[in-house]
Amino acid sequence: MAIVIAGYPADAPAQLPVIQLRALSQSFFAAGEQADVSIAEAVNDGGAAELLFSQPGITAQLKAPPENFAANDAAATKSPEKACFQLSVAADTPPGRYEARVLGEFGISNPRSIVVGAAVRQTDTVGHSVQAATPIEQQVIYAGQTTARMIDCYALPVSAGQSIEVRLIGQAVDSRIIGVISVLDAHGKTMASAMGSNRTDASLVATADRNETLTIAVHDALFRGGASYPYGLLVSAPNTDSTRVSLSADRLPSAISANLEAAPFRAEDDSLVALEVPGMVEARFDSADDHDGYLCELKKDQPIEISVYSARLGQPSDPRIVVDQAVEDDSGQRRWRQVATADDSQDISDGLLHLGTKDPVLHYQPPADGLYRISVSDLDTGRSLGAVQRYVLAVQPPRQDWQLLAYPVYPEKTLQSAMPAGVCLRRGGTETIRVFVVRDGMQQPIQITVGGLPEGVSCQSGWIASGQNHTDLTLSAAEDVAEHDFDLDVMGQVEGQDASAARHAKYASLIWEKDDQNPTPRTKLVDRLTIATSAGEAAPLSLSPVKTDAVSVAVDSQVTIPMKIVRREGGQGRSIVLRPQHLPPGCTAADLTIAADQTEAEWSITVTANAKPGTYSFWGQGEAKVKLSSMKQELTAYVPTPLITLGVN
Amino acid sequence: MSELKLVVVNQNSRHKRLIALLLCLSQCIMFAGASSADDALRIENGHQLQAHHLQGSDARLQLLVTRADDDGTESDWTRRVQFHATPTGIVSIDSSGLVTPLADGQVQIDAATDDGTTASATLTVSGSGQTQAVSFAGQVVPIFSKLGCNGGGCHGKMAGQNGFRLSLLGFEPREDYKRLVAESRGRRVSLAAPDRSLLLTKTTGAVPHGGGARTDSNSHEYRLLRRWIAQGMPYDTDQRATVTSISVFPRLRRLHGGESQQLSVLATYSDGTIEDVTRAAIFESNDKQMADVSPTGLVTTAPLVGDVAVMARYQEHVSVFRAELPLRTGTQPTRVAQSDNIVDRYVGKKLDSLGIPPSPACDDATFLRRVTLDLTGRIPTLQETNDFLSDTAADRRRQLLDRLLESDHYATFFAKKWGVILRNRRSGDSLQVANMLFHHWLTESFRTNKPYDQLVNELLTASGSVYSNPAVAWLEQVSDQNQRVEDISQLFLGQRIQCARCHHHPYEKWSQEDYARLSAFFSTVSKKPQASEITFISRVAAPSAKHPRTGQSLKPAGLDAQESVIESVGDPRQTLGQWITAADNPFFAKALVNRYWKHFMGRGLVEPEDDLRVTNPPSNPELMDALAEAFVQSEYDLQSLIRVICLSQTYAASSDATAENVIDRRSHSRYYPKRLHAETLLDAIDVVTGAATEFAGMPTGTRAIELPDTGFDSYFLSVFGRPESMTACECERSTEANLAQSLHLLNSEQMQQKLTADQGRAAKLAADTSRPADAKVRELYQVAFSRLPTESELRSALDYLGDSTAQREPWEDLIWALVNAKEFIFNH
Repeated sequence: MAIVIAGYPADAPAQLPVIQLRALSQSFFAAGEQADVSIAEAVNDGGAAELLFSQPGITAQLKAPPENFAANDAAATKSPEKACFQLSVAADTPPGRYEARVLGEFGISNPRSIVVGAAVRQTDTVGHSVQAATPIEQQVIYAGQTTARMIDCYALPVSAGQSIEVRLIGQAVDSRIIGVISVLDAHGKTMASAMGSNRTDASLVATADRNETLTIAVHDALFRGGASYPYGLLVSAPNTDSTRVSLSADRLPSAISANLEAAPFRAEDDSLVALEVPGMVEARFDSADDHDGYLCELKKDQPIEISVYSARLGQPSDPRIVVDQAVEDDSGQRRWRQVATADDSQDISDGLLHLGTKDPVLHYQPPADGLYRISVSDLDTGRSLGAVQRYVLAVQPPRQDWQLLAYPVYPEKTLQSAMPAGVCLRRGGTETIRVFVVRDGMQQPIQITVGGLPEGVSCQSGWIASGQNHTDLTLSAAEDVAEHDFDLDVMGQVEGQDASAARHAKYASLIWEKDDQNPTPRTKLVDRLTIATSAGEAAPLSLSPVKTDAVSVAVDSQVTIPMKIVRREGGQGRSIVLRPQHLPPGCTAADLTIAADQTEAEWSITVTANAKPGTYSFWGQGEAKVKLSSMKQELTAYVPTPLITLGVN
Repeated sequence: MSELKLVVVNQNSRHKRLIALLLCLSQCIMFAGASSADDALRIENGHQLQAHHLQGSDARLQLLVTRADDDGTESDWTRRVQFHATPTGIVSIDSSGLVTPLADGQVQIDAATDDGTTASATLTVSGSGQTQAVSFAGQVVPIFSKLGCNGGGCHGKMAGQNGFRLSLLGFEPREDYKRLVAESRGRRVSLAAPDRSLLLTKTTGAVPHGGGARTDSNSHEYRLLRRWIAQGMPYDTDQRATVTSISVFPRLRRLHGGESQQLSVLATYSDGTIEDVTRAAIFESNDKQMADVSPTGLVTTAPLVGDVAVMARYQEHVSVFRAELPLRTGTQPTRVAQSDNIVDRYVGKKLDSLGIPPSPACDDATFLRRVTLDLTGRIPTLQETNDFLSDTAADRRRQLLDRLLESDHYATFFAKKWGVILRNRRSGDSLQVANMLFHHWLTESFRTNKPYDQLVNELLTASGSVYSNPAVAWLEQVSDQNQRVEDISQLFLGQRIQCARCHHHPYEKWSQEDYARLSAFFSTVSKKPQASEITFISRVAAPSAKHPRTGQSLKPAGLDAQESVIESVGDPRQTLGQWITAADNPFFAKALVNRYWKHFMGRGLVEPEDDLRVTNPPSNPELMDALAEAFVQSEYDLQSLIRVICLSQTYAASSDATAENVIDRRSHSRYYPKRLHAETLLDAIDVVTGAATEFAGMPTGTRAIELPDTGFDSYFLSVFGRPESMTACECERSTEANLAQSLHLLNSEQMQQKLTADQGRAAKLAADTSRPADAKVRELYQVAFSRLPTESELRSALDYLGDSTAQREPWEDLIWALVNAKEFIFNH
């Protein structure tokens, strides 16, 4: 039975059901705690059988099996009882963030983060006025969720002169909250107030003038509330919260390119700093108009790479690099001549995932030997999210570096409208995994393979060609695949390099769909990419090329790829539209309409004269209306084909 | 005092007469018309600069005759003397004092009153028999302005009128020349038959003209235009001297209501010559109720008390005459008001000068309500009323002010005020995070008493993401570069430079170039298109803007400031911020001081409060200067400014007028009542009725004054003039009364619901059997008006309640009456 979640687009076309986890009933836990946890908000969570965690010390046992239901059943008049688990956190579980997933009839869900702290208390009822404020203590995470159009009030006794740091932890538990904290004195007057952002927790420091009881008022900036708005309120002495860094980490996908290996030295003051090449330095933007300068001796025609890491380190900054060359004027005085500037890096994106960053990366070839000045400044002059932002400047010869990031492609026609969802690899079915590469000077082709596959699941390797930034892999399940849940190991190997130089991908997940306040979907790095096969209903349709060999084609010519269609229950008598995905530049293919009774088709690919020779991978996405026996309504199925390797010569 | 040799360059002089000038100067030029021994009467038309020489047949000169009484009061006697010229035949003088040449020579002008007092002066006429070349830019175009041809309502508008377009107010003479001579197949002017030129026939109404007859064929203007045509319609040579400034005389005069004053206007040219352009100048009063001015420069005052300014404009220059209208004739400032408070000192000085006695001080209850409303946008609570009225401390009002300024309500109220004019406008129905962030930033700024220059700087130079730098939201709201320039000029400089976008400002000196240079500061601001939240930065580029007419690339410069040299990697707005907030910026402090003055006192020293210009001077220039200086000295401390104003006796004056000061509308002899703003009124009604208004998306109990933007759907707020945040002008908020407002308060469903709410005050009063009715009535008055009822009010209420004090309806009626009273709706 489908659950209509507030905010879920009511007019979204019904698709093959896959479990979508939006919120758990509890997001904060104490080490050694046992708690009842249910699925607070989810779609297609019927038959939820397991609650899995990324930390072995956290386990859950199903307590109340859900009623049988039919997903997307529009006639349903009541919600099924949500699955409830008894969760146990081992006493030796280190404080930090972990991921939870629900495994059910419709696959394994997208992850939701939880936090384990040393001391956590749940606040089932909270006061909503100064007079009814809920008493709290320091060094304890008070866990709750905001209520729409309400302000949660907490009372904290303090001593004269005592400073406190108040944090509203939300990002670490994937909350939608844009936190607001206000600290009021005993007379109800505001002492301090701070707002966070959709990626930064709200926090502030306040100092009491006298012995009194302060009121700490928290709410969402737009007064939203519900299970999707969990938060943890933590009051501590300033700069003593050891979990600050890990729980504050933004987990931006673009952070994968923040590959800092060497320990940089620290620049303490604002004078010009001499920097050897290669060299790295850590410094701070101390004020809105802070401009830091670094002097480097560079050689003509020896290219260098100048990188600033700040936004990728989770700082709310927007650095800019300016390079000036020292020249002498007619009177022999040194002047600085601007020769290069750099701002944001290129945004590698498919509309859902954005790998661009506000950190500049400049590849520069000095025109002459000599002294150069590298100025670093922060274009973001605001201090609402912090008065001081740190950064690392690296000046070095160009590297041949690359990182991989993989995530499951969501079955949407338009990725921009995707909802957070898990993966359900049905019998005979296919699912797409997109793998991005962030190239730092390395332009060679990369072969992508997937390990960790159980019996009955296969995945053809693919290529990210030179000049390309991503490829899509297709997981295929055999007709008789058993139920499994497994973590993928996506790896990449540069063409011509040794296998020992292969790299593992990091993983990302769609956390929240776009909405009024967020024009783009929010994605974050996650610990793993977990897939589940379903032994229930088979996939109604499968599309695949007849031959799995690479297809060879010359530039400025055409090739026809024979396709076979397997129709199962629900897919009989259904026409299919097959659309090309990830065709290389210079190649085109029209949408192919496959009639309802066809089991074979021929797909024409045109390779124009503009195409560059090379080995490429592409695939097709079939779209069809299907009717499963367990569903009362038609559903839209997006059926990816396995990868087709195209050799252009 | 020697006789004044008039060293005047007349209207037609186009060639420097240095020898004549030097001769005249060498003869001890110190202007005073030779008069009777006691200098009671004198002929003059300026101070140090004076026009004495009429050259050419088209010359004109305006004489002013001034008489000083024994007490030093000066008055205009120009039209009350008999003029006589010796020898005759050199000049002609009409009854208004206008002199026109007849023949070359020197002539003594005598002016005589009926009582035998005389004054004399000497004029020189030359070139009367010679035909002077008519200057198109210097003489023809000013005629178009004088006759109203090139005004914005006629040929001066962008589309022109009936196919004939002139530049607005003659700011582009070369363009005007082309259109006049070359367009329309040259039929507008006819060399062969000048009198049949359309230019003349239309102007005199000889042929149908939509604008009617603007002059007649015997007029000076007609003759000049005709002669220009007959001369072949020449355009000026580049050697022509140009006007560098004009000055009006006198600059200031005390006039009794109903009196008149003739003005003269002298133009100084780039070659040093001076010319009387009185009859060619355009005059306009800034308050037609107070004074009107004729086309010949005769100012006539109304029987009112106060100040008025009359602007004189000639070509693109302006000058101002100010008249002070005291209550009684013969009133002279006899003392300078002594007070430690600069408001009282200069307001007192002004009132003394005008002879207006101030109203007495208001009582504590009135002060409490007034200052609470002005500082927090709410009425005092019952507790506050009781505490304050029972406080006997001598500095209780200062303590009250301190408490209010420290309160969150102050911060919220002023964040609201500024949020509206900074266009914190919501798009869409649901709450938007950018609005909330911006509102929070403003609230925090006022809560922490951020210095005003810092606040403005943060706004002007905002860069980054809206979460990190909420002030960036202003750039999103005011997305057009022209709009940014106009808003910051209006908000922070009190300069409405919108006009200068398309043409030279008609009432100020700002040109299109000034506008473009100011705009250049914003030329590098750009929005990052790929950012997941609103993000603005300044890109690497040399800031510049194109002159809209010439296309010339212009570097940034503040108004009247030097061109700024800004590196391409810098943010030019930093320089803009430094210029605007500099201590010597002539506009910044005054703009704020005037805005806050109006907020508290109901009327700006300059009206409108964001239209500070030479031609719109303050009603009390000394006070304006003093407040601005004090504000700068305080390092732009807004609360310090508020204390100066609110702790003054001027602010604490009663709003009841006395018989003598009822006529005062602008000199602050009493407190001018203000209608409560829409949000304040709604909140006040909620307090008195005990009901609450719900606002979509906001927590229950949110007051209207706390709303972060103006996008909340509320009929009450709309009908009572809540602004839409569409402009940077506080005038968008309407406090005008209308029938819809009255009807809504009287018998709307919303009011009915509030009055009859089960948990409302009427229900509670009815159910309260622990207190007698009179105690409850007293409390009701304290809640609504912050005062106790008078005996008659109490009696009336008790009579109305009668035996029905346990019923809700009579209490509902009583509350209804209170909230509909003027005393409730106004801050008085």
